[in-house]
Amino acid sequence: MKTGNHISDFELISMLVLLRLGDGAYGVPIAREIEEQTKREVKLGSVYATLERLEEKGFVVSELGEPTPERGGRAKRYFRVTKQGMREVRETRQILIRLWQGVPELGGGRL
Amino acid sequence: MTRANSLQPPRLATWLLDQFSPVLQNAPLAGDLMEAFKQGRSSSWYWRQVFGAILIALPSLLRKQWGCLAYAVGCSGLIQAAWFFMIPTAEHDSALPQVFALYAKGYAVQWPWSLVYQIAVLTAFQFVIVAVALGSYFAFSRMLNPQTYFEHSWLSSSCWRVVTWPLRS
Repeated sequence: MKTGNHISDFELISMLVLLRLGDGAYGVPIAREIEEQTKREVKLGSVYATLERLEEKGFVVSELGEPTPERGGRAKRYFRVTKQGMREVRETRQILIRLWQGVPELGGGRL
Repeated sequence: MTRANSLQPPRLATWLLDQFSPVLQNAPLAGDLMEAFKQGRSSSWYWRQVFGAILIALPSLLRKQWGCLAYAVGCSGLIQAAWFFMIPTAEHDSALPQVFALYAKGYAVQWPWSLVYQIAVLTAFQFVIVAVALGSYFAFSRMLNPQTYFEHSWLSSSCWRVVTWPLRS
């Protein structure tokens, strides 16, 4: 039996958004994409807290860009999913599909 | 789609966020908020984000800095208690009569020097308490950090062995 870190729903959403956005994913577009997909307002603070947690788990890496005047001289922090993170997303997907298939009331795994 | 906002975000909120920046350790977050505001987000949105960022960071800060927090609470309580027991009241005498006698000398001095004198005595009194509390805190935190403790022990015993080597040989 595998033991280790499980990812929460918001962590999964964040990683999927990072994968959708590809290179150049930083706070503003990440939060906007999450809001568009979930139809809920998100706090940028919670997005950062989640991504930092994922970084500690090794599922995400980040790097700082150059500071720009439009942002008050503050740099952007770019995030991307690691190979380990990709494995985790795939495994979580498999787990969710297996769980869905066991619940006929939810369509038995059909999306 | 939101309209572009050429104005600056609420200054007070930005100032508040800057005050917490060393705590949040996240300058890109402040930059993101500014960028999103300039893309058309409202002031109320900006305020909500700032408060949210601070509230979200607080538990992590308390976890990381629990020693400092305990020290601040303990030291403040100690100063208040020492002050309370140093000044005699109808219910109790001064627990530190010599310190109080020093403080009470200010009553005989003319204003404003009486005030200056008593503030100086009070500051010196609090400085001693803070020094004791700070010393205890460092001693306590060293005991709680086994690596530092063992390194310190190893260094002390090595020095002791070197110093006493001529006597032993």
